[in-house]
Amino acid sequence: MKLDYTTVDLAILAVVAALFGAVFAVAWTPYYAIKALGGKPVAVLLTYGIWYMAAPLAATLLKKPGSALLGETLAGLIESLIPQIGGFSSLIYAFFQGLFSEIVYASSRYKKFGSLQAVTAGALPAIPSILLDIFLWGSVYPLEVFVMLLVLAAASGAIYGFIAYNVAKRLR
Amino acid sequence: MKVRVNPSILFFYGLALTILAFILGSLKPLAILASVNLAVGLALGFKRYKSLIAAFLLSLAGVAVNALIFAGGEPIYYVGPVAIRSGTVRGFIEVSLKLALMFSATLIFSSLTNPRELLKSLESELGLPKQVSFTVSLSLRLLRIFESDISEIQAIRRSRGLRVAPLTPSDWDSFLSPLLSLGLERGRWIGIAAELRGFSLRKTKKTCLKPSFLDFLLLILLLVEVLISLIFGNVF
Repeated sequence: MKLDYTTVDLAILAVVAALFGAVFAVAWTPYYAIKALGGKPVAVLLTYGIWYMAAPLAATLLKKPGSALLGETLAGLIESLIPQIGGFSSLIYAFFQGLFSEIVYASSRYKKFGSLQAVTAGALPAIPSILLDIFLWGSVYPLEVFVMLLVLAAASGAIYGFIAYNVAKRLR
Repeated sequence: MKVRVNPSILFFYGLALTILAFILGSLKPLAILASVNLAVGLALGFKRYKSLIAAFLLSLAGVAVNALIFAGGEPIYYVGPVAIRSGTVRGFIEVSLKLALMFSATLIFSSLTNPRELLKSLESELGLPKQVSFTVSLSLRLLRIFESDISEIQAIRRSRGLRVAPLTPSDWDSFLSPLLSLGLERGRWIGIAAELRGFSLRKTKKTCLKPSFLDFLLLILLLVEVLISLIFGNVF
């Protein structure tokens, strides 16, 4: 298992960060459109996982320790450097989401980067994501709503984690 | 006269304000911090970020709707059939102030510096590893290229009768594959080219962080804001 990152690895991380920096900006439109038509639970189920995708994608491409955390955090940093309403909150969300994804790969001592790991690495970031939402929105939404959103966000993350794995596997 | 503040200090100021927005639970310090910083942010960035300010105001309408539907408490007022509960007003005010604080950090940062200056400052003054600054600065350059790739892909999808904006997971699969394919090819060759030009041998020029009077003013302001939060606020 190689621990050092080559310049090509860094460039691939940059590609993932830039791609998802652009994708995150695009993803708000379908999120709000689905939310307007189907409500927040449907919007969370269909789109929240997009914001967790950078981690399993980077990990599946690079297969190195830290790649999930770096992929997600750098994408969040790029998103936060683009002037937008949430600002630096994107970086905070991305760091903790990336950390939880990284835990999945660390648990197998970075020996497994398969579809199961990608699905779990896509689902687990729902925990810090919804916890941070509680800090922001806790005075508006009751706890039962957050529990429901957690389940939906985890399901969404699992679906998009699997998509990230399939896309990376086809192209590697 | 252009205001020059150290980009690293601005970055940490913005990040600190965002963290405070998350952890503060009390309205008084939130109101003080949000109003001071929003006033500064609007003074600096009103001309340049008019559309972003309009989007922010629109987002407050979304907060109001969510607060009306989900917030709890006893009904205190009726507007036709809609009950405004005791939790609605407080919830709307608290979330709006938090969003205002985060938004003001964006306005202040974006008006006074840019990502390139920030990376240069973080690398030379604060010792950010060159690998990280290389990755972030390459990402920022690739971002514009990906934005034009996305426009092309959307045009192709439109001409084939597919949804322009991906809505479902399978839409995202077909949307991301060509983007990533193009991106990985670019990334590999950029990485090889950078290595051939001696990236791994490059030494970073380190300079000392020399805060100016405005930098110290900003740091003192941050300290005062943290003290206000601790004295008046329910942290968590």
